[in-house]
Amino acid sequence: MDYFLLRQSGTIQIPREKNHQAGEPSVRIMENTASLDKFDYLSAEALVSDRMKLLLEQYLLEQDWQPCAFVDPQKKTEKTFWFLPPLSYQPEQVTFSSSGLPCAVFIKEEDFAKKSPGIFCLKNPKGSPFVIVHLSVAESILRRGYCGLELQRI
Amino acid sequence: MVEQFEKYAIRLREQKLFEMEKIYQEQFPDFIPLFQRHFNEICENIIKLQQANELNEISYLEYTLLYSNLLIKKETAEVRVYNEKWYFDSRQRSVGHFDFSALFTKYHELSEELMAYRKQSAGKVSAQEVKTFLLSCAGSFYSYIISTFRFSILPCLETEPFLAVCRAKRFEINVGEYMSFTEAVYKENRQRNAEESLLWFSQRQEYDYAFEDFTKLDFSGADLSEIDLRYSDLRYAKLIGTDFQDSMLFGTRFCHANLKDADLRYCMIHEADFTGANLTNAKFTAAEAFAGVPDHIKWKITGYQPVRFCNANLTGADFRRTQIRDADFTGAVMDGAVFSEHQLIYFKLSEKQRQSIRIAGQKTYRNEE
Repeated sequence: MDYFLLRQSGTIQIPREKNHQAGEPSVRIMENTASLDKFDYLSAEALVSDRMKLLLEQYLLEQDWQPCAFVDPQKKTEKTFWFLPPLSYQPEQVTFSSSGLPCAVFIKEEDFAKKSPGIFCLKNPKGSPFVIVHLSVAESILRRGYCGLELQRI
Repeated sequence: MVEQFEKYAIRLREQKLFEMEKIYQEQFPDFIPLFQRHFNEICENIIKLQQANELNEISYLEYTLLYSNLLIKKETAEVRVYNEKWYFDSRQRSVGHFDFSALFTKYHELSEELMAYRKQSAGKVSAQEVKTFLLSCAGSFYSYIISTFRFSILPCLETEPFLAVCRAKRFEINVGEYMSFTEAVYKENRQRNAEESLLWFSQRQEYDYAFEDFTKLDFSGADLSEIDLRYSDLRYAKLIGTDFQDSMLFGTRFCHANLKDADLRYCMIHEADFTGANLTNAKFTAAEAFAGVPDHIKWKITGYQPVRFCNANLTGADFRRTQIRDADFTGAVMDGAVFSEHQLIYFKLSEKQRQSIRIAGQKTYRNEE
């Protein structure tokens, strides 16, 4: 299988915005924004760092990205993440393991490199969606030394 | 990553890469069978799949370094085959794995020593940060796999089982990363002809001709001066009297080519391969060829292998004022080849070869004296 589950590695508490509407930007107050430097992916709301967005937008052309800014007013620092845009593509078939994690996805042959993007999301009944990336995206992520994430082959 | 750790990590990476360079220069012949054996096995596997109609003719064969494999401590390159759509081939398939751990010992050492040093940093550097740094170094270590592969593959290309593999008219063997930097160690283009190639050469493109297939073509008498033919494939080509003056011929494959009277003055011929070539009366005056790396300050690329003249016919070839070091002249015929006396110390010639060469300024052959 040439697909990987993108997961956050390590823990961090990030402030949430009540009633945040999908597709809208967000600004949040946060102490110590420097702690975000060790993360390029925050799974709770599928947020990616600025530098990771630069890579992913190569695979997600013409998508509308909305920012999520974390601001520390006292230290006058700011760190911007981006909401992963809504991705409608669903594989032909998905298999889940007993732990509830996806363990196999099946992509139609005619969808490969056409309808099927390098990144797509699977619904997660227990929380934030699973982000699945193709081998090409996984390798690009690993080559660039992004941090605070791991890739699990499915 | 804290500054002190980062400095240490970078210094250690440089040290390990230069140690790898030493292994590459000194033990290179030991690794050749490893690559050749594996390549032949892969070809046999492809043939089986093609005979079973599970695989059509192939356009690309790639030995791919997967960072996702390194993450799980698998030091194997995945071997994939593709049709003409390359990475967009929906049926791209893995046909085997190549275990390169024997050439990754220095990467191992780097990993172990960095992890041990991290423990002294009292939690200031996370294991994840070290892993990320290590992955960023993997490509440099893998470049030794690419170089070794490049120099090992030639004999396999002229024999079975490779010749029995059903290949498209344009075919490549690449070694590198998935959908990223890859080096074509071999290209095959059975549609190319000399006339069109000369037209292309007239554009004097930089590096565009690398690994391109010009085998068996006739460029005799052509003006190919000041051209960049690095790593081009000119095996069995007819190059009688061809003017290559001042050209870049790093790693160019001239095996069994006819270079009689060719002009190679002022050329850079680092790691070029003249095995079995006819170089009668060829002029190498002021040509340069070095082996290894220029210095041990900052590692940039894999060092050059020595230029090869094995079993070549160098009768009457002119080597005056060359800067050729560590060249391999094993089995070369050197009757009347001209050398400057002061530079003889740089050439490892057999006693027979020394007896047959001519020293510039001396009227007679040494064996006639």
